[in-house]
Amino acid sequence: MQDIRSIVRCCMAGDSAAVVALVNRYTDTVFGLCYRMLGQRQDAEDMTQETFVRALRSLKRWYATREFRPWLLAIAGNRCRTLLAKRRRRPELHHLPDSVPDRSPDLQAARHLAEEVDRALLMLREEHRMAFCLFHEQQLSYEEIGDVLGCPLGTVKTWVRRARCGVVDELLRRGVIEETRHAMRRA
Amino acid sequence: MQCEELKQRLHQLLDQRRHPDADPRIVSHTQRCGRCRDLLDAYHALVDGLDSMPMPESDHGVASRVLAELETVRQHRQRRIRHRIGMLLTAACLLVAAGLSFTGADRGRDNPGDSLANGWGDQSAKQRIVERLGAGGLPYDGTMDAERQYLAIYQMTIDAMTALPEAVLGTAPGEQSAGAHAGPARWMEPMANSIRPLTSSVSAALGVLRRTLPGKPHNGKSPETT
Repeated sequence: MQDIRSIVRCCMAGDSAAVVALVNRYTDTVFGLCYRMLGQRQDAEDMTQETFVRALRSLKRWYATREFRPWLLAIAGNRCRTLLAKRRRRPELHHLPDSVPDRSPDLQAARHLAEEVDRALLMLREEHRMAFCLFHEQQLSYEEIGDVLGCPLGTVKTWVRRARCGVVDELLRRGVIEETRHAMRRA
Repeated sequence: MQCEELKQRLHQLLDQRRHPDADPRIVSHTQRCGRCRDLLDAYHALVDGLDSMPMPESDHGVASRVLAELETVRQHRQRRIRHRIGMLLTAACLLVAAGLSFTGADRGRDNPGDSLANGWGDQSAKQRIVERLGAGGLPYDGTMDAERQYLAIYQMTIDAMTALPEAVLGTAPGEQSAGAHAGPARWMEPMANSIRPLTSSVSAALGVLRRTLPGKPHNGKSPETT
């Protein structure tokens, strides 16, 4: 796989193939974060596109000594927060998650559980949700998350822990644990 | 192990990306404490839910959309740069033209304010100003009094400067100009050609206006030479 630094150099030289390579390499990462933050596919796709356009226009500001992925995710996070702030200013445009939990009995327990976790994540505060997703889903270290969010290590740890507690409380409140136990007994 | 200690330990395990029941002390505590057992199950559910949560996949058209967007942004930026350069060049030309005209006319003048206040002294000169401004694409019917002439000409010049880049580039917003990929010299040439009649008309009109003001000596310099 081509080194990201050489891809970036080619992108800065105006090489379209390098742009495509860079976008293809990080699309799922960026889209994954945007989707978790926004809970809606269309918005997540728009923010993914915007993130790449911004990043490619700002490549000069990226230092080769720094990891590219956290830098890119920081841009994605900022775009998502901006959109969420816009949504708050227009409360009538409240978005529901695309995948509303389906309680049909034939639904597999694992899928149901995933949807419940996804739903619980959307109830969290933005910064907690982002820290949680970056740690548990994007597998970033606490230091990298601190870079992405621009906050100290201790704050990041606190946010991730609060996010976990929030999700766990929501799962308990919705009785998901009991359902999971039943499903396991049936299995 | 106490209940509070168990909570901290659960977080520590998850921080290390390990399973919640990786510590046997947690398991033994939850066998005695119902609330902590619920909590442990909830953390299990969280971890299992995260494992089975599919990573959302985007459609495959992102790269092409990004390329198209970058191209649009690039064109927009080029147009903006050309617009600014055009404005600067126009402003510079007009300033030079106006400066030359005023410098020549002001020689030997005692009190410019008095002259301006006196209005038109020569109707044929007024007609010449109208014609000259019209030749430069600055429509003016000559109905104002002399006191307001400079303001009017100035305003028309500003309007012309605003419209100039579009006239030079021959593009409407969203269109790609023919010279978009050409070097600076190629698109500056028509711009310079477009500016030339405008600046000469404005400076000539200003020169005529200056000479027509009553009580003001004329230095004999032709406006065309400016």
